[in-house]
Amino acid sequence: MRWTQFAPAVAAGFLITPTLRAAPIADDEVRSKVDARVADWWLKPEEKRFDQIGWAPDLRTARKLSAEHDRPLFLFTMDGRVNTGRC
Amino acid sequence: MRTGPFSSTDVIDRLNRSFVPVYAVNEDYEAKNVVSKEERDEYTRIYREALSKKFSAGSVHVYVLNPRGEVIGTRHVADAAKTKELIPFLDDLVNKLGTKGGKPVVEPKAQSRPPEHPKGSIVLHLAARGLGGGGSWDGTAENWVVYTPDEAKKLLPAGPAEGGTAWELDPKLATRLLVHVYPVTENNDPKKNEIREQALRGKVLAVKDGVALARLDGHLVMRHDFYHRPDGKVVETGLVGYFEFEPATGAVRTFRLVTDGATYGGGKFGVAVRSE
Repeated sequence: MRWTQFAPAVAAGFLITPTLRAAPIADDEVRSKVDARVADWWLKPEEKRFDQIGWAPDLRTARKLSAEHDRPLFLFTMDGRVNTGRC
Repeated sequence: MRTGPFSSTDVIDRLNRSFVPVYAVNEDYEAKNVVSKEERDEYTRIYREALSKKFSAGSVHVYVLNPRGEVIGTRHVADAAKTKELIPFLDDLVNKLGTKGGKPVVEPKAQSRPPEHPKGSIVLHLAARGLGGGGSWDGTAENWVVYTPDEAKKLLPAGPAEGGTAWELDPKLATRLLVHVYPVTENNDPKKNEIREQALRGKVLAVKDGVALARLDGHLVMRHDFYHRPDGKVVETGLVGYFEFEPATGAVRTFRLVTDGATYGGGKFGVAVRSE
């Protein structure tokens, strides 16, 4: 992974994003403004490509499938949860 | 790896076409009751075989086995994370084995999923991302928090829910969610986070057709070390959101919460939570 850089594009994107803390949100705007922020920050399809890989559920199943389909087994070991990005 | 080669369509295509990909979470293999003894033994065998063959080996690593289960190549994560280096490594092994490509052996599916939970639970999905200024890794991170039906009722007002009803959400239950409010960092052990201040209040805005709409407001100050060693870094953020629930049954229909001006380590970040 790389440190997030304060690139101009990111800065521009941030500046046009409405900041909720600038002023308290009126009661009648809470739902729409919170929904907009959730949509803005939610994971985009290109950030979920990890899910496009056909991962075997565990190592022993992968070994079995590898033998059955005559394919090499690719194992990635890591600390934390690569599937959620908390790693 | 998740935001690097595992997001590269070139790598994804190769893994799906010619390999049986699998990942192993070290914490699960080190724990006593998460994976079977046979599964743990196989993990250990691969590691030891790599060492015996003078391949690189380690806890954060890529190992490739031939269909007979023999280790035929490895890469340290620092090298494997470089897509341009990983691709020729994969191609070379496939060419040597003469693997015939095809469809994925396992159908791809969502890898970030909620834990098992009883019917009627509130299942909250959290997404975190940096918003500039540094202080976090690139990419995004997710967490899941589940409240059982009994716990969900404790999130609601104790008495009648009418317009203007205000209350503090059960602090212990709120903590279970707020402890995950931090950007993408190396340390992902919520037990190491120290909440110094937290508040999450609800106020009913309206009740219509048996459904109450409440707004949520709060704040969080939490020490969160970037790595697994004390560094004094602190999450500071306001919180705002809303949720809809049925006062008569205690069923929660919708829950949304976002950070408000969140900072950490000199940078800005955002966390969004939604019920699924």
